[in-house]
Amino acid sequence: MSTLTDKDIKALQPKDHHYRVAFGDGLFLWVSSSGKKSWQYRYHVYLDNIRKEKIYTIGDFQQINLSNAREIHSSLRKEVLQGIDIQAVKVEKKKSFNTSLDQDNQTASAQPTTSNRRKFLTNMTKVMGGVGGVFALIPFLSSMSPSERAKSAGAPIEIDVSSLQPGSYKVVEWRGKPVWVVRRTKKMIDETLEVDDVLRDPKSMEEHQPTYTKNKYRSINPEYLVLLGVCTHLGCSPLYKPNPKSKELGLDWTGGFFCPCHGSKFDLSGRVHKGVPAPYNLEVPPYYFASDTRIIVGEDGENA
Amino acid sequence: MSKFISWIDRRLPVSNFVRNHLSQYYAPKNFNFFYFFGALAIFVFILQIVTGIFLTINYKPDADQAFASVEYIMRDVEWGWLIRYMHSTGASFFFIIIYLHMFRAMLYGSYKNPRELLWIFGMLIFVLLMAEAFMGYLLPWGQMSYWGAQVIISLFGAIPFIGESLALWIRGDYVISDATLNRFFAFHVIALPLLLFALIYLHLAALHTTGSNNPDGIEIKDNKDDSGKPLDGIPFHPYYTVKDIFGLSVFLVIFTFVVFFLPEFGGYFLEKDNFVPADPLKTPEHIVPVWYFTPFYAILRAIPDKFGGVLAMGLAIFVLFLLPWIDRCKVKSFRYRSSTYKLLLASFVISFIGLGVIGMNPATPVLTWVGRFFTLVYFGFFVALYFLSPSEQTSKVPKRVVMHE
Repeated sequence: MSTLTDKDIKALQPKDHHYRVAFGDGLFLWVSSSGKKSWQYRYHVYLDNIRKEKIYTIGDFQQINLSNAREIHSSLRKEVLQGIDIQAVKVEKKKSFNTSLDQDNQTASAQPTTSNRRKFLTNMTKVMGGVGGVFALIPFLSSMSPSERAKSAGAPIEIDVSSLQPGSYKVVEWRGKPVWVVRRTKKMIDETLEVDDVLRDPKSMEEHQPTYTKNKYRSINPEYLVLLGVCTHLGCSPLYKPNPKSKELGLDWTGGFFCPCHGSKFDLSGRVHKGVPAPYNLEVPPYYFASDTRIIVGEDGENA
Repeated sequence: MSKFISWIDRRLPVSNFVRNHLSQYYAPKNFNFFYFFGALAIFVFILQIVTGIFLTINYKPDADQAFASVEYIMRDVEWGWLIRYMHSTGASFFFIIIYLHMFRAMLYGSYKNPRELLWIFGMLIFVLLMAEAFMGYLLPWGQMSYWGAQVIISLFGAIPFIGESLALWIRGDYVISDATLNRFFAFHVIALPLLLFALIYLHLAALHTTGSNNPDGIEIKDNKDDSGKPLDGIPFHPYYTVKDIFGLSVFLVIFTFVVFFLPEFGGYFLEKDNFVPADPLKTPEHIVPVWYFTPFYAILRAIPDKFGGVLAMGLAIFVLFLLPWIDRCKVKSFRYRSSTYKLLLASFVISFIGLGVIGMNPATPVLTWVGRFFTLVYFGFFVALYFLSPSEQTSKVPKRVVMHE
């Protein structure tokens, strides 16, 4: 029986062949040819009344020193003396451990399918949730659109122009916007040119008026000009500046409308000048003459 | 007391927060005058929230009553005039502070790596602040409120195809009306302040992640002592809390002077036309937005095309978002950058102020041309910066911050 200490065991050198050092009661230190040292317990069991020698590996010397090995050995020995096959128990334990591992492995091997399904379901949930979210926005966004009351407020109005003097103008409200009626003088009418270099769209080619006002006067009756008094640039209300050669608008000013916001200019038919921010002619609302001096704005009447 | 604090700390890490963000949050020791404006901006934001809450107590968001309710606040509500003037003056001061805060970032390259996200959050705050101010300006329902909103909402109408219906949707009516006023009130008092609050939080969170830049544009985290404290850093509290309180005191002297003696500021903070109730049939002679919008407004007017103008105005703001990637110079602070850059930055500032002045005045042909010139300079700054910044002749950046005693 060996009386080696930990220090001595550490110093043991490997030999050509593996060898054992006995520590008593079946406890051995096994030294491999490569120098690996491990604790073993050689014990006997009776299987079917046949005495059988078995070897139980306790563990590596690196992790288990001599006193620990003795401790483990003595507790194992108690089991052996009770007739327990410690090696078989160890194998059994390992097996059941492996089975549970196997079960885990099975799930792992099945994972591609489950994870694909899971991914698909997750993505579908995301998409459906997103779609639902977008649809849920509709009532909120729609609530900001003009209400039924606002929509119904756009009924036609009647303008009486009997008191309007030549050269003067009148502003009335229709759909919350100013509508101008200008009674042009004979001079204004005569000086309206068919085509003018300073105008962007002199022939009113763009659709910003009803067809029955698509002429150089942009009106049904040249004497009365009906316009929406809203600048086509950013919706300011232009000012009526009928006098030509004004100090403010220069010597080449021929009379018309001037927008104070951004300097857009329109002639006396509401046609836009070139080189100003407003993109097109002032709009002409739908209207008709109910009589010589009564204009209905908001409907085409018999003109259409 | 310490027992109470530890009771709290086990449930909410308050002491930890104070340490990480105040008493052991290290800021560069060389902050100067320009570093007052972040803290001041937070102060004015809180001021606007508080005065705003007290204004809503008496204000009526109704086209028939809004104008009168504001006059009621001014004349009949006890101290109502003070709360209203603090709110209206606060709006203008907010923009003065924000413009200086942004100029600081440009001077010292505070938008550069690693602070790009910080800059973007800041820009988002700026854009939301403009929306907040614009919507707030409609609420008194004066002439300028009405026509200013008319012009701005029509800007959306210039977008091809969807523009008209978009403008209609924003207004909620064919013209600016009660519907518009009501929704602007909702956005002004709830939606935008909440968003602003969230963005300010993110702005600060991003700031405390990277730490502050400084006038030398060097990272103080690159020079630490053995215990890991930046050598050029000092704890935010007490050093900068005291500095900011001093700055706040000086600010309040100026602010209260304006509130008490010049609340309209000669028609720049509160425009004269806004003391006339809104009249949908009569446009004021000169529609001018409040001063803080005028630089962008002048760019809008400079382009002789409706959609082009809107596009240019939008681009003028959007291009600022891209500044961290347009300016490709590695050196942050203008102190160590080329004279070319200093010249560019100076011309940018002049063009911005010039545009602001032009935007306040009526559109005469001469001013329109000057406006076009400044617009060119404004955008030219970014173009030139993009091409010149990579190969810029910079001087040597010091390793440690420089103190100017």
